[in-house]
Amino acid sequence: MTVGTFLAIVGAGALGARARAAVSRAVQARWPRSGAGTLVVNLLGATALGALFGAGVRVDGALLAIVGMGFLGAFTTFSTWMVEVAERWRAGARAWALLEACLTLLAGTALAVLAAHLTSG
Amino acid sequence: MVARTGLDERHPRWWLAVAAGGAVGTAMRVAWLWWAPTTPGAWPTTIFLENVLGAFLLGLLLGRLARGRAPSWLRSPFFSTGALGSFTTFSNLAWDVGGLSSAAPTLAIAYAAASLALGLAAAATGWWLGRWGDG
Repeated sequence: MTVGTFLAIVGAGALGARARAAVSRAVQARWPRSGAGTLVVNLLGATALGALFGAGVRVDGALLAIVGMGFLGAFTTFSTWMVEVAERWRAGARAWALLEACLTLLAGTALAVLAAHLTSG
Repeated sequence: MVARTGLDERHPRWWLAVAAGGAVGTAMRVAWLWWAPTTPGAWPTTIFLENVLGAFLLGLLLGRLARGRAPSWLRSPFFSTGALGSFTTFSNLAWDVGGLSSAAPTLAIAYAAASLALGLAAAATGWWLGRWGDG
């Protein structure tokens, strides 16, 4: 990886984090249930990463790293998601918190695979 | 939760802090990945450790903030939404689980389950440690 690519990835990460905050807040404002904003950015980001990697054979490697690792890596988040699941766990809805977390990861994986399938063809 | 860090997000500086933190978190995640790359088809150790560590640190930070005695500079979204949010990633996790599922389904399920179990335990432990000392 060249220094230029690394800096571009970092810059894309800054934009990704900012976009995550904006989308997450907009969703949370419309649907104030705990974790709704994080759910939407994570599923959106996983779908986009799948689509990007599916089209990867036709895309330049550096661009793939900048958009995939930089922007989409920062657009989605594991830490906030886990803290929110832990919060629902503490609130007493333990089985629901666990089930929701499993379903979220399953949905993200399915969306990524489906998107990659659609763009690789 | 990140929404409770107390700064005013209507201020441009709030967004600047998120972006700056995002740059730092991304730089750390990518530098670590570059230093310890993962092999396709194998357990994605680097992303796994980054995600679990990030969940622990965010739990610790938010637990500390919830305690109400943290220094005010820690309340900046630079650390929570920005750096720790961007240090970890969901998209890469989902993509790796999908990639493993066709070649090594057992590994895919183990990776998904371990990420969830340890991520949740890390976030909860961090929160507990952050609030430690409360009466």
